[in-house]
Amino acid sequence: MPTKTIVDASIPNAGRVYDYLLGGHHNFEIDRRAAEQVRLATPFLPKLMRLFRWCLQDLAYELTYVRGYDAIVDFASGLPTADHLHSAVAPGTTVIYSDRDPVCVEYGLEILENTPNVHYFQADCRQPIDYLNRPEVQALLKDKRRVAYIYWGISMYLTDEEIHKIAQDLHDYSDDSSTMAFYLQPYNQNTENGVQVRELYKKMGDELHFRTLPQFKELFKPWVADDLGYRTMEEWHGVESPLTAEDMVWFPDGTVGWGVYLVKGK
Amino acid sequence: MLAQHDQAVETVSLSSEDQAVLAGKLLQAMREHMYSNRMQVPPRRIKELAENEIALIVDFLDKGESQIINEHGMTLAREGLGQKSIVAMASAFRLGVWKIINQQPDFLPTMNLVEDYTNALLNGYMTAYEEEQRREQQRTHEAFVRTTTNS
Repeated sequence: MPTKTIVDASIPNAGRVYDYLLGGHHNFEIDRRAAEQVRLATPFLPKLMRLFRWCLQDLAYELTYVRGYDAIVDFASGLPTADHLHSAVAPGTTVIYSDRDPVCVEYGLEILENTPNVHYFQADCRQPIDYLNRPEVQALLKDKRRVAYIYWGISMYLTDEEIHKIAQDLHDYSDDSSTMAFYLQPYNQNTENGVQVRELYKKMGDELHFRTLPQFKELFKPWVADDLGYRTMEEWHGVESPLTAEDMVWFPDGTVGWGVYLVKGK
Repeated sequence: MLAQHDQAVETVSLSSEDQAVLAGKLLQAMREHMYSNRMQVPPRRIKELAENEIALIVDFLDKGESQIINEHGMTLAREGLGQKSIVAMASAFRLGVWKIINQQPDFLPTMNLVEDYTNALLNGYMTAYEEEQRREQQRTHEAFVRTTTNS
């Protein structure tokens, strides 16, 4: 989640740390040092990040080819690199990316250049309705309410209240056939290393928040999981757990995370 | 290179059984390093990549066109195949072919051809990887300049 340190290359930034751990080059020495500290405390983190990032193209395919959405609004998008949603959606789909980080937005616009039907705006994912009502977004959605929303890999930067408000607001805003794709990050933050990681992120200006699956389900209400349910990343990709027995202490539910398509309850 | 290739054609013999064995070794090597891959190479693509690699190898042993392999290496870098994956893949290929053909007479020309293949693959990969790094650096720089100018 971008913070006030975004444009300051002398302070580590969580977004750039994330990029480095994913093998990108949109980062600086200060970020790489912070990332190595994070990696030391949580050696499994790069694998975990890859697992949820690998889902993006699946989301694009599922939402557009299978479920027929022609508009995707993605929040806290990060860099729209070649693997991102727009490269795998059905032709004619409008993809609207957003991020709070102005550098990310500028960078994203350059990557996208004039890619048809793909847009990138600066916005705070915690205020989805303000964003959706902005004239530039409305000009694209044309008051369309059947939209697929995506919050992927952002839950740890959001408080309970924020997640619940996002869920409520989007539920009220969208029509009955809308979907919200969400990645849920569990974690046992009470371990010694867990405290250390939270402190590291706090120094970067970000508070981390983790929850159990039942807690997430409660926060998403009135949205519910569709028939695919809450799928672990291991199930999603058909791989064995990347966690060692030692790592398992961090993940009391035995998985690195879940992905879900939330729909409106009957 | 061509002379070497002509000589090798007579000695190389990768039956479909050999190809299946080789594909298995590539798959295993790539699975071990799948977490080095970036986003366009999720786990489910690994099998397809390994099979494609075998098809390219067989074609190369037949025709010896290193430019195609060089371009293939570039594509793999752009798609996000990890550095560890490509090194493991080249190593598995080299060892795999050697195990298959080392009992045959005159296997050295074939191994030279295998070297040509892995060199072309790795060279292409590294060229594209470096290009991508430079492009990302430039974009980062320009994005920062524009952001600070705009703010």
